[in-house]
Amino acid sequence: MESNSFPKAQGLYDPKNEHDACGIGFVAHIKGHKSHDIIERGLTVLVNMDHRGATSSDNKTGDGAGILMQLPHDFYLSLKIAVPEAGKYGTGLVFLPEDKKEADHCAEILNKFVAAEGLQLISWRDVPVDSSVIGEIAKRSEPLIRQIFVKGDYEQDILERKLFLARKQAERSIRESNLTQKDAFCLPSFSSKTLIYKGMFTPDQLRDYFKDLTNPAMTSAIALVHSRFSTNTFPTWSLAQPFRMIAHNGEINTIKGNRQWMHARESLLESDLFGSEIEKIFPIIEPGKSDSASFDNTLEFLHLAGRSMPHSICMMIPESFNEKNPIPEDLKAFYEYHSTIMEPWDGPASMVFSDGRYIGGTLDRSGLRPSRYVITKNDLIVMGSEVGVQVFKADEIKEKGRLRPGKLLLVDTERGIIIPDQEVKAELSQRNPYGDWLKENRLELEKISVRQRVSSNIGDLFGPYSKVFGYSKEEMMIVIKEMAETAQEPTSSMGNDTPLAVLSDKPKRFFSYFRQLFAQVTNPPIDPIREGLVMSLTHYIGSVSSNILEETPNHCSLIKFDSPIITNTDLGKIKDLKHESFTHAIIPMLFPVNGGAAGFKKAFDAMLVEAEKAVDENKNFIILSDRNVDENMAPIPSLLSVAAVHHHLIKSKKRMQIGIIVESAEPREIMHFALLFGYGASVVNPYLAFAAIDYLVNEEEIKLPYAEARKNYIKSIDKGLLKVISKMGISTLQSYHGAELFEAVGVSDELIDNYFKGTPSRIGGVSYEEIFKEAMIFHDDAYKNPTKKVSFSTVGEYHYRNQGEFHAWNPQSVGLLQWATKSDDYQTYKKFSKLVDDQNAQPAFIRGILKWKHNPIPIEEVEPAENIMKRFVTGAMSYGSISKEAHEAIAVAMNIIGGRSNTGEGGEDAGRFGTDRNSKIKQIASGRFGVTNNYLINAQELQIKIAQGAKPGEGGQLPGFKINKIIAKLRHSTPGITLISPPPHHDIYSIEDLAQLIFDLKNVNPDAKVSVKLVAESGVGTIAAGVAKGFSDIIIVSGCEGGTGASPASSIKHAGLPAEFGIAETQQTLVMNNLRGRVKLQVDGQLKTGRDVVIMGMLGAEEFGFATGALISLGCIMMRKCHLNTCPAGIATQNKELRKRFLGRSQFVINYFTFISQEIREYMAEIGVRNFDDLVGRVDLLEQNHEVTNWKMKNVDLSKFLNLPKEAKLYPIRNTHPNTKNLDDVIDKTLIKEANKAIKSGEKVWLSHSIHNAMRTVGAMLSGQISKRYGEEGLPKDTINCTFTGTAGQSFGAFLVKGVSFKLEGDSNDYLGKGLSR
Amino acid sequence: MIQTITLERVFRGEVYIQGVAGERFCVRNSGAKAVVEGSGDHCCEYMTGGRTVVLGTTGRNFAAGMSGGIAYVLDEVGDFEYYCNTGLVELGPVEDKADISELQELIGKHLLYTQSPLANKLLTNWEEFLPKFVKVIPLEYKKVLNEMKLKEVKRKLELAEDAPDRRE
Repeated sequence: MESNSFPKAQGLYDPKNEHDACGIGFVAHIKGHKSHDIIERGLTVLVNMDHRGATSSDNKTGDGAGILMQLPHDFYLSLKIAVPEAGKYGTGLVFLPEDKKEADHCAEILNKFVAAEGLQLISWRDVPVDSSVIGEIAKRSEPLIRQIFVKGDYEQDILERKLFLARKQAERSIRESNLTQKDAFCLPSFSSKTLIYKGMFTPDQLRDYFKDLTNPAMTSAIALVHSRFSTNTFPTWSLAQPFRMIAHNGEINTIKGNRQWMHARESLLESDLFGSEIEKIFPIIEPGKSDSASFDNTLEFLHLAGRSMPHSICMMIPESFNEKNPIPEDLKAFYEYHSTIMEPWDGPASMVFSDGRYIGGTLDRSGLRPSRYVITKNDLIVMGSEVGVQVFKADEIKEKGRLRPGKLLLVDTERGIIIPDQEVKAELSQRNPYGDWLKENRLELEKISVRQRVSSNIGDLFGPYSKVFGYSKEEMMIVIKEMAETAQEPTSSMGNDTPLAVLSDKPKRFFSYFRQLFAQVTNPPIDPIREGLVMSLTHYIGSVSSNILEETPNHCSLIKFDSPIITNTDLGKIKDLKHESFTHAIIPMLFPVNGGAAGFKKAFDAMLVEAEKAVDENKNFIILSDRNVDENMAPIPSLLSVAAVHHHLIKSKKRMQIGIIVESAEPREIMHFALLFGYGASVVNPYLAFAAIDYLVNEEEIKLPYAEARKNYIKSIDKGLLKVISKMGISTLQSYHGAELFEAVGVSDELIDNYFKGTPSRIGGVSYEEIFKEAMIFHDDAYKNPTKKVSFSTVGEYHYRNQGEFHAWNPQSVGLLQWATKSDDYQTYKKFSKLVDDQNAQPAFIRGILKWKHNPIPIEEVEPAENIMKRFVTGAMSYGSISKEAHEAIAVAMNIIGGRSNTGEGGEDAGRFGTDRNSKIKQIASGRFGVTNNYLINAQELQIKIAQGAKPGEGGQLPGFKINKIIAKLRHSTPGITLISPPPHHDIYSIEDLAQLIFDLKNVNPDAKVSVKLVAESGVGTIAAGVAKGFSDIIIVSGCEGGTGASPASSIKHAGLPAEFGIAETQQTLVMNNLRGRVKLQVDGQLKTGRDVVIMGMLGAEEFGFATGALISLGCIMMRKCHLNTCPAGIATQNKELRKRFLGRSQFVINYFTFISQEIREYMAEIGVRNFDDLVGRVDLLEQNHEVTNWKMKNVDLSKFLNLPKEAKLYPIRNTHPNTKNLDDVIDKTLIKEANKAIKSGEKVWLSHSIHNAMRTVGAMLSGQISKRYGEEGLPKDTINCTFTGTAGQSFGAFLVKGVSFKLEGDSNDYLGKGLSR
Repeated sequence: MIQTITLERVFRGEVYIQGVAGERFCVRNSGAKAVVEGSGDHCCEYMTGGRTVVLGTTGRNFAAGMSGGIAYVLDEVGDFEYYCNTGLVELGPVEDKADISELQELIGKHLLYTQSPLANKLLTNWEEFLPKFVKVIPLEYKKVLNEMKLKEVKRKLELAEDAPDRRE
């Protein structure tokens, strides 16, 4: 039997990144009448959501399906099992190892803990199953399934807790055993109330596999079901849902933080119900399971420890309760009080839950996952992700409805009633006088009186401090100044072409070694501006959540902050508090400069000891401070200090008792603050940033009064923080706190394992010694040659500067490339490529540290350049971001060489369709500007842009003044009206939604390939696996270096990863899942030379995207003015005069690509491969070039890039076959036949069909046929008239064209009329 | 009853729905005319053109990021302003003659296509219900519309001046 879990982390793959999404639903008899019919109906609901689940590479193994029901007592009587009366015994299926000996051993362990808890074993039963119905992959890990029955003469709630204790201890004991197949062990449920059947099934296999389910004696009043779409194909029977209390459709983005906080809370838990036995339950959260499983663990625990299910759920998924939300004041108080006890488990969630008596559902505050219900006249209630999962006649239906964001629906099958949201919550908010408790105990920062003001001016210290903390001229004059003046973060353009911090030989702040993670596909980013009503920066500090099982007024003895950035005076207020609940200890983040690296480490360790001491002395806050830097003392990086203290206290289970305040000169950019909060800080006082503003005001660089400038600065940080957390799909800073949503690039394993546990880090890097050295370089700069005059160094992070940081596109490289392409001179191009390749190996990019092995063949044997050029595409640059001339020049060039150009977001002039100026790739981005049926039908490739390298997880805005008549026409908008692209596609909130959009597009244009563009981050591989399972033909992995017309500077610098990481991880993950053969992989991100292409090919890419390089060959000189409309080369501008300066020719682009392919052929001959295909994924031909190094790279190891999974021997490592989803049975095929006359001659037709929810995207293919013939015009109004009766599936009437009228009598699911064109 | 997220990025066309829509009805609508009898949160979000008529209550955050088009909302209780995100839009009564006839026509078509009793009630008691409608229009869009109207008037004037019978 194969291991019943994800593969271990290997290469760039990490099982922590796995996601899933799903269809959920339930059927219940409101009055609690048990019948077999309910179970039947539950199973039907599952089958009707089949299209929401997915199947593996064997096309037979489902991702998981299951059902939760009430304990079927009568069924056991019919089986003659010696059970006592209902409620006096418990049972559950047990998944056991296939190995007989190990299975027996596991059963014995369970028996042992059952007995230890005072329960008596009744019997074990072999569960009858039909293994022939499941897929190969599921079969390889199929567990032995038995059922255990135990009894105990206790009150039922006590019995439940005993069953829980027995299960928890058995799980832990087996987890910690040496059994080889211990991963197989799982108790899907163990209860006297409920029973769960689940496994690696497709929805219809569930019924056939478990013979019990079709036995008419098996009855229940409740059937809660779940079908899963996961991003992997690994066998994980235990992760099928429902879990013990819930089934979850969605994703918990803050899971890392939630898990750590729960772990930290364990030391403080006290429960009357569990008493001293509570430790038997630990760890509450089973390690190595999914986010939903962790949620279930916590909910189950809270529930069994005495909180009602609705109460626990409202605590974990609170609705938004700021002033924009119309809910009663006492309910707001309930939520606010509970927010001091537990942070939200944040992320899109549609959840159904049951304890056997109550059954209900809830939605998260944004309501991003649909949930609908129907109540019938004979007391049935059916809820599901889709409407129409159960069909009722109109006269049987009593009521229909949908769950609203943040609301609950609860059915009490014992009392036989439905309890609406308002009633449930009214009852909860009356439990205790929460409002009074808050008023009496919670302090609000702004209401604390000021004893003394603390000035921002630090006098003479500003000179040396600005050097010690590395404030550069750019940071002063671009970042801080702009934020203080405009309350906005600065905007920039083009991509990031500077080296990773660890590859640069310049000293960097420790912050620079981290990258922001962001949401893509499996959950949507949020728009923090337009949907501000769900966002919150409110935060508390103090002894948060002491014992979460209790409710006392003391729980909210905390200080509340509306913004986590505090002024010097605010910090002073906290220091001055004399109340016993608000005491603090100040711990310096400093080390002596004369102690060397050893002294650094000693000071660092002492800091951790002091932090622990502060907890032991019952302090409520720690203030980590670098205020006292001087000639003898240098600062320990603030991020390292915060993370270390945070993790040290979690490890010693002392973290919940204390809040962390940071008083530091180091943070000034949004990314810095985000990092500090993400690793455990509660509030930050950036005193040197304030001093810098004060300095700029005094120097009259900022022409505002200081107080206003500071207010603006804080406001811009607040806005930026909201953007960073919303990028990840998170609404509240409280749940972002400690959630570690970053990836480290270039930090040693030593530091990661100790202080950044859970943060992905794949190449190793700097440790104490290098960090010490960096700190000393800055410190020496300040104190070795002290001057009175304040000065700032020129660092050149953003723009190329002579003495500054290296930029790959510099005057030499730009000049050589333009010369070469203009003069069609291959020798000059070779000078260019040598320069670039040498500079890459300074080092600057990962590709520069890799080299290939030689095995030469004659170049004549290598395939011709023409073949290779077909692999080239140009980047998605819209007409709008670049001029018409430039856009068309690129299209013509690509069409000539057989590559493909891209429309970008913003439509394309229909006059270009069918000509040599047509872009073969038509992009579909979140704004959907200009995406008409006709646009789609004129494409060879339809590209869904999920994210953009320069600003993944963010939307965009094209200001009204840039929208002239032509651009407005192409985008189908009004000239002068601002156009906003939302951060997410509003029809993609999950992986199954993406699969649906792909299905829509393939219906409109069955001849086009569909591609999905992702951005490299840790976990992109697993997302790509999900995308492949959703039937995308091509997956594009963009590096974070990608260019942009306008993006926030901090996003360009700090979000996403270099392309090498993304492509290598995606390749490895797809190969492991046997999905690689189904898709083509494309990569982009600062590709410039043949060497770049060959390395990327070996890492796994088949196709290659170029954008900046193409623009440079057309004359771009990297002025980075794209966002200003003042491009001097006439490329990125709509200004008529500037456009006259455009001197680019298609031929220059053609020359560039010809040179690259010529060069690639030379390298192929060197390596010894004849066809490029034979190079794809061949990491075995690559090795790390250890000669390329610098003083920080001692611990840098690229072996994870070069990992060839063992599955590569069995499965394809490049695209070998098409990824086809059968469209033969769509109803449009019938419609097209029936409307044949109308399509051909415009004769009117009237059609009529019945419809149900599995019939999706009705009308799109029909419309595509009309566009093909008649273009944008369509047919005369009401030529084709169709009436449908029933429940329409998703995307009903999507991309309909003029001339087609649909009438629906009944309900519709999501995306009705999406993209209607006329 | 319509599931969440309907009429996403619609360019032109018309939709009449007898029943209540879910969250994000008419998100990114850029040209469609739609009538519905109630909506969830975030209705008309990022809308850039077209008309949306809601003959009933809306959810929170109506018109967030709406930069074009017009929405008419029947506000019987009088609390619509609370549910509307007024960041980019202006609320006002339906007074302009052209607006009134447009709204009446849309509700009339709604009645025609769906036989909605609600539409029937509104139209038969038009004088009573008209004052309860709120017009939602983005400030920027209003400015552009006015400019376009002005241009149109000018053009007509010029044409009139150019008319042959007025030439001497």
